[in-house]
Amino acid sequence: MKTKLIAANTEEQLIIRTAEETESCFEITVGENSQFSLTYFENRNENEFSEVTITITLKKNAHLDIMTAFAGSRKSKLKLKVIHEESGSSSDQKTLFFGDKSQNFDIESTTILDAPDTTAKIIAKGVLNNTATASFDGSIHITHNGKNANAHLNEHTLLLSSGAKINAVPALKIANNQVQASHSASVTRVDDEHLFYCGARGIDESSATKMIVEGFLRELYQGSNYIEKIEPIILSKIDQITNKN
Amino acid sequence: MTVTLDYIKNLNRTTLDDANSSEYVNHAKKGLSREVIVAISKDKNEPEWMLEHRLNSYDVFMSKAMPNWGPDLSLLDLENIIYYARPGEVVSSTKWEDVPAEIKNTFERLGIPEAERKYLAGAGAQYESQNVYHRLKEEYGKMGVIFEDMDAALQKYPDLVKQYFMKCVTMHDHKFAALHGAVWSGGTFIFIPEGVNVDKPLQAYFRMNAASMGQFEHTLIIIEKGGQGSYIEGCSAPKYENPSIHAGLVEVFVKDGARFRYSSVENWSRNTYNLNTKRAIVEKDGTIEWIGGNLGSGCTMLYPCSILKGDGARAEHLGIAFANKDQIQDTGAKVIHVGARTTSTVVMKSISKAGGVSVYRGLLKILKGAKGAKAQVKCDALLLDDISVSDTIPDMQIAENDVSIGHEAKVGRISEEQLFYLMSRGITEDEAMAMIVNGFIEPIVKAMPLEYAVEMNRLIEMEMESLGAVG
Repeated sequence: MKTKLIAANTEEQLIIRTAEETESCFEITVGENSQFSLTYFENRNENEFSEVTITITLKKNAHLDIMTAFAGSRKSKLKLKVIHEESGSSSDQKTLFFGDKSQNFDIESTTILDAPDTTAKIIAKGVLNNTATASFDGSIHITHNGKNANAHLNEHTLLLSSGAKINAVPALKIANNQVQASHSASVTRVDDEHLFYCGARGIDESSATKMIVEGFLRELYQGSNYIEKIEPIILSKIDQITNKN
Repeated sequence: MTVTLDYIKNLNRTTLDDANSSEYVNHAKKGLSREVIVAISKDKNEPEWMLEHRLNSYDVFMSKAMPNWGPDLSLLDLENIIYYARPGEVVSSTKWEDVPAEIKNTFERLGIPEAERKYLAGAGAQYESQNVYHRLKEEYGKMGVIFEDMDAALQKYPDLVKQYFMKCVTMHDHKFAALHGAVWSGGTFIFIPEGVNVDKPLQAYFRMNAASMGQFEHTLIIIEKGGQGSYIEGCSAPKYENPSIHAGLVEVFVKDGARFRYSSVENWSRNTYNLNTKRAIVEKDGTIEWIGGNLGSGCTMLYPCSILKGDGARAEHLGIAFANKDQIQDTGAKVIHVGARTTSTVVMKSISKAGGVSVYRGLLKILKGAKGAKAQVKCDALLLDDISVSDTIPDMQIAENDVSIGHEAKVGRISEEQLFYLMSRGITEDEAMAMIVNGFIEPIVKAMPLEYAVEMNRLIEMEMESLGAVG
């Protein structure tokens, strides 16, 4: 297990690329008034397996920016736990997954707001093609201590083929009334109307699908610290899809 | 037609919590054994296959473990429950005058016969394990509609019952379905023939009276092609120290193009474990609507389920749960999309107060082949103070890409601004709270028949009053 302590009043970045990482369990504490940014990138080759656990604890007024992206591996499991332990801490969490062939992603994201005035914003977007499957368990717990907590979770999945499967369990567990908490989830395929709109403008179906998928995901990785590494892999995956269809 | 709602105005906690004397249970046997089951079956003079079904269910019940998820059931002592009790020498009657005075009074205080006279197509009343009253208006009988208590239906229409009984929810489903299969008694049987529209609702009211009772009524509803109907079920029980259990089972078969609405207002006392199972199988172009209010009982585990088997089948679930002090309302909706172009809508509202716990536990399953399926789930939770709890746990399993699925949930409290607005107009804080809560649940109450809507509002008001000021 790797433990990491980010000292108070500092700013730090960490990038975990599973293909180059030997550690599978991380415990990170972000000190008072510190800012921490973590990028987790699943980029193993497509016959490997991986299972990683990350626990992050946030102290007073600490801020966490986390981006988890899944593109590689045959089967990948991530257990992410973000604990807002002290007041005023906030987190911005993004998850992106792109599965094709028979890839399987199992993502468990738990956010615990155990202190007053804490904020968590979680957004997950995924695309699944061929017979890829994914499970996204995103839960928000606001404890009795979480007065004025503010937590929102959105997850959206685009299924590109009839063999793809998604199991989504967004959960809210709220034990305080002075909170704002919500979650939403959607599962759709590429909208016929969108395809038609593009078609009417001379864009063929495969290019249109590519544009739509790219637009769907870009929102997430656009501001990422790691955009130059994530983007080419996502784009090459998108290319493969549209060529096949 | 003018409708007076006096019985609702007079409805208060005492009306619901008061018990009649229950000497008849003094010699009733507690606990469950093969002998008890054989005795129930003999007492009811049932056909051989039913006894066999009961005993098989008992074996399944013994072999299955208690659920390892959801609320804590450790205080429910299944050995200490009375599984079958008849309130003296009572038989089911079609005349209100024949019902014993004491039982009659109970139901009269709850407003049952008055409601029937005014707007129901038929009504039934069950007291402990025994139906005491069942009547269908003549005009509907002539159209071939059957509305009977379940025990009578088994005697009169054995083949029809055998064809459908526990075929939708089998004894292997879960431990309490098996328990139900072993000790079921009473309930309602509804059969609506092809193309018949029963335009007025049918109603049944279930009352437990004695302490440590178990009520296991079985409701079997069959709507033939193109038929239409609706059914309302009300439940209550007096308050005791010892836990009692309600493990009813509802099976609805909606055939091609048929439509059925099932409404229930559950108001068991706080010592009741309400472990109910409700499920519908909907064929091509059929529609099932579930409308439920869960207000009573200390612990509820109830997840009405719709299996949309035929193409174009539709399900609508509307529900309210109110969790007050020491209550756990673990409710939800399950929808399984099998057919193509099936659609479902789930709208659930929950209110938690004084430390109450309300949980939305849902399942949305889209099987492969359910092309063009559409599903929307919306859960809103209102927390009235900072010691109450609200959980939302929807499970979505999607194995088809030609679908459109949406889920959203919100948890919040009554806004200070709304309270201030009302109070600045001379409304007290408590009244303002009650008004806002009534507004919150309105979309669901609106879907109920008028009398039930008024009763629902009154029950909510009672919950709001019960512990003085809220917030």
